[in-house]
Amino acid sequence: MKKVSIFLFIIIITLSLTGCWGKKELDEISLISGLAIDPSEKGYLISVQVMVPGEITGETRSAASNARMFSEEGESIFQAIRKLTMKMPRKAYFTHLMVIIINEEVAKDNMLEIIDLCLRDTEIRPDVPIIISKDDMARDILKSVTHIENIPANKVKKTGTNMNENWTATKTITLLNLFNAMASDGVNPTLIGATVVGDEKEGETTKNVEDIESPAMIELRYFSVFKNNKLIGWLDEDESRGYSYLIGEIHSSIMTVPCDEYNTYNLEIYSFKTKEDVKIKEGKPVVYIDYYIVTNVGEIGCSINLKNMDEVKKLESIFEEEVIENSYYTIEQLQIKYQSDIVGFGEMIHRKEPKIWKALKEDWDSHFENLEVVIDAKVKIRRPGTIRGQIIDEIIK
Amino acid sequence: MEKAKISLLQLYTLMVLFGLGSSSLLGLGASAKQDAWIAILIGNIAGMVLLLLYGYIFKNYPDSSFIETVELVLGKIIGRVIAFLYIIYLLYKATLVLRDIMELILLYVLTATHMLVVGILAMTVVLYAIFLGIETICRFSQIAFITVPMKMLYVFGAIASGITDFNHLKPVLENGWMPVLNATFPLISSFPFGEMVVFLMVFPYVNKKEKAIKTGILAIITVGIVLTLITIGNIITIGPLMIELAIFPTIQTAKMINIMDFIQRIEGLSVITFLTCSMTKTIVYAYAASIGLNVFFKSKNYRYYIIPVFLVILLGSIYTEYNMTVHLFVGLRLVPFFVNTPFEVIIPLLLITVIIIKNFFKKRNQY
Repeated sequence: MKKVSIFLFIIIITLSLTGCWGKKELDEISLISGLAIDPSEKGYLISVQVMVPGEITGETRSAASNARMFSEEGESIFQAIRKLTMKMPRKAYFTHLMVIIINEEVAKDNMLEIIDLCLRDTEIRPDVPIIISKDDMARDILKSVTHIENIPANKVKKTGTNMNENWTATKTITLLNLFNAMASDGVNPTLIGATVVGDEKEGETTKNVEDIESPAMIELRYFSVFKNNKLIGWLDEDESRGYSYLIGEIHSSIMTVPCDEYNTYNLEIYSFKTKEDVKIKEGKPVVYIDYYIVTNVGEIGCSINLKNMDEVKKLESIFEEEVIENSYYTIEQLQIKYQSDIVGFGEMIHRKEPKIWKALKEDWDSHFENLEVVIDAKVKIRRPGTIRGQIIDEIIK
Repeated sequence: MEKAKISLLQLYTLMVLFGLGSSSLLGLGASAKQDAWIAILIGNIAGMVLLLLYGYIFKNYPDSSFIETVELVLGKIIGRVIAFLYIIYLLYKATLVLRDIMELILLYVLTATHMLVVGILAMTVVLYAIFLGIETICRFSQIAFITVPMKMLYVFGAIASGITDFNHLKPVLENGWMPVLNATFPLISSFPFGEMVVFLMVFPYVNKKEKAIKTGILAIITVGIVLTLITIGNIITIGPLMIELAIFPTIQTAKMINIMDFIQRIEGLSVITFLTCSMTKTIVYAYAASIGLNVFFKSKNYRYYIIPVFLVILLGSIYTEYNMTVHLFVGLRLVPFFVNTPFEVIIPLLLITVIIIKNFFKKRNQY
């Protein structure tokens, strides 16, 4: 009796452990690396980029592109994604999604549906970077065949990281950051914009990787400005620069100031620290931002004697002025042109002075226009590179 | 009651795992926003007070299981009614925890599997555990205790990934103490701290009874520290707004971990670590329920009740709640008021009052 019952028990357990309903083997799924969302007459045009494993890691690589793209229209994003099954032999699998590219027009109109879907879905991770396609269709960016990185979506993501580490703060905005910025009263989101530079039609073919200089390249250049969860404009290069200073997300970058008509002074930032403070003046909050920037001399285009301490001090103060001016300019632009607080001054007030914030938060955008911000900067030059004196003087004399 | 002895260390590990079950998964105190961790610390203190109350009951009846104690203190009729209600309470709590387990697995691991299959598999483990008895359960808890430091590793993993923002913790006490206290009482004080009332069924097995309560306090402090750390980790990683929205915020945090593009996508592992605690919790409830039934019906062996307990918990967890919305509403809104408060605070207080009065008369009769 006991043996029979044990036998039955084993059979039941074995049967129930053989597998799971929803199992998907690797050869049954398509790994999606990029998702592009464009507007269409029906609603949305979805394009997904599928990695072709054989072309990425295979021993013999053919000239074929190592990613494929599928597109489908639908009334909603979810519907369009499911409609893709009519074209794809394998089910789309989104856990390895590297980037979501959203068309500018969709971002101007309504992005909330996208955010809801992406956060609700169990496959898409909250740390996917989100990028806006400027001037081009989102799918064009995903389509460009690229050098160096095999998969176009990966190229977009890595360019963002590289730029963040070495040029300005792209502050690669992930899905979760975007949600937090949108949901918070005191800050408006900003997303990085990507465009295709060059010939888009050429960019789609593998010919793009055959030449040394590609006919088409993906470029991440601009910051978008959002207000009330809708995209309202783009920062130009100066404003982007000032924005990077204000949010203090610079890891390593170059500061450039012209010294005469053609030449410039350049400093390489290697440490950029920001201190924020909020004080109350006559019942109104005033935001104080102090920069502490440590630099190396990078490139000197004019004659300046770096052996002399006074000259170094002078150089430092030139850059201090530059940073301060640039930041003020950006704030002014944000207050007048966009009336949108993308820096997060509201959040600073919220954190420091929660009581004052309660009165302001209902109508923060209009209060933001009259916000007083005081900026101070301290630039330190640590060393002049490998050269002690001034190269230019040696040559000219 | 079975004949068994457990050590203080085993009691400690069992209590810590029990305390972290489910509670570490759900965003406890989400209504207090960025102050959720303060709410948990206050709940921790309330939990210690509650445990001292249970300790008083245990001190007066150190050799009888709680169901027996209720009958002894409150007499034949009222005592038996309340004892039976306690058994239902234990079974109901087990169904809630099992539902958490099933929802977690269905959401993140086996998305297309039927709930019943997951339930049967989980309950089979529970059934086997209670069949082997409390000594085996305790030995299991000693091994499974490794998941507790692992939980804390997630917090450090999130910090190491560079995705955390300590500014999310500010401003502290934005809306004063009221939202914090509202989150603490009755939700956090009862879940997981007040739930320790079930350990009145386990304390009699401890070999050094006089130190049982002290160990319990230590376990509650551990639970409080781990929960606070996890909550702070969640707040600084995904932010208080997301915690309010997410069903399992802790898993969302684990999803975000990405150390140097090398250690990433570890939510599968995190589901298992958090599941271990929830399983321990179900096992303790199911065990207490079958022991309770055995004591209540004065039968010889608690193992007679394993199959009924198995069926009640399994079917109860699936059919009492229609969907996740109902489950969260019931679990986080109704249960703390209408189930936890009476069974974890009011009835124990009533018992203590009766015990004090009885002791008073006993003393007077002696002289």
